Amino acid sequence: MRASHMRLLDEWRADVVDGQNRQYVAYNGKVYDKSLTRTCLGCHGSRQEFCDRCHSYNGVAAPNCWECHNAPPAVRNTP
Amino acid sequence: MKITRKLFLQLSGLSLIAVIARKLVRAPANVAASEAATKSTRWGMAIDLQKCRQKDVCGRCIKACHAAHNVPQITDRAHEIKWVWKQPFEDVFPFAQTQYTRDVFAGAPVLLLCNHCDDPPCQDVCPVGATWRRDDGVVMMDFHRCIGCRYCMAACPYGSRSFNWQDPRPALSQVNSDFPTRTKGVVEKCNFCEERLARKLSPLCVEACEEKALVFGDLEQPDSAIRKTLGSRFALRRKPELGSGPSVYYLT
Repeated sequence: MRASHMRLLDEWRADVVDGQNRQYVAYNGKVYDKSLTRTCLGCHGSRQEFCDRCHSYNGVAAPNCWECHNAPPAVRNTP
Repeated sequence: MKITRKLFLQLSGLSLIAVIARKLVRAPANVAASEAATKSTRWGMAIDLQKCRQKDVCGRCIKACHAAHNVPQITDRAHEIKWVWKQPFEDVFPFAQTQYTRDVFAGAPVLLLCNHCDDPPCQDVCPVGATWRRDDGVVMMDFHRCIGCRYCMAACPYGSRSFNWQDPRPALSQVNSDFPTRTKGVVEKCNFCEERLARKLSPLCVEACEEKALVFGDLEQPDSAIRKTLGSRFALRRKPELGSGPSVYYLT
């Protein structure tokens, strides 16, 4: 996931916007909503922890997902 | 058995004929199948102007849509963003009035939204394929792809598209986290609530209307509510002479 999450996001985006295919069925039959904010960030509840931490450490300019998509409200870092 | 040149040619000829014959046999079946597939859905809307006028200032549909889709309320008209809005009758249907109706309908508000055309001009001009007509008739936009050239705004004969001249977020009093906002430099318009259609729900404006002035449904189904309405009452479309084929009908 760390290496190829961008491919997954790209494919999901094309599926939802272009293909009207909104459900992802995992290998174990579990069905996921193809949604960055609801599915990915639904569990990994913080953009700062889940996205920004690696992106800023690696100096990778993040794509501008969050200029439009709504990140969950910022949570304070647990000490 | 040794395959001679003659036998080889005979066999290849026969197999070629067999392949062509199979294609020919299957072709009518394929046509039937594709016809069945196209006979699926064509979303359309009918707006009853009489019912809509009963509450001139209600605007529930507009509020519901704009709140759910994070459409900012910008007072500067040069920068305003609108998915659903109202305009006076004489501006919307300049040729549908007589000197007598002019007095009655002058300034009467008409509800406007993207017409989700059969042959959308906005789709034809988009240089990056950010807008297209879906099989069910919804004219979709991919905000990711939009480069903000505004060709679609120039092409749309109905003024249904708005451009984000500024970051819309500061102008939003409340953000609906289930729907993305847009960003500066992107065009946007009504999406016929495609995110709700995917969940088999009607568009929000239709649900929000207390007068039930908006009828939404499948124009391909002869027994749908919209087909019955359009079959029994006289309906206008905006600028039908342009041939874009709007799917929003106005019941007079």
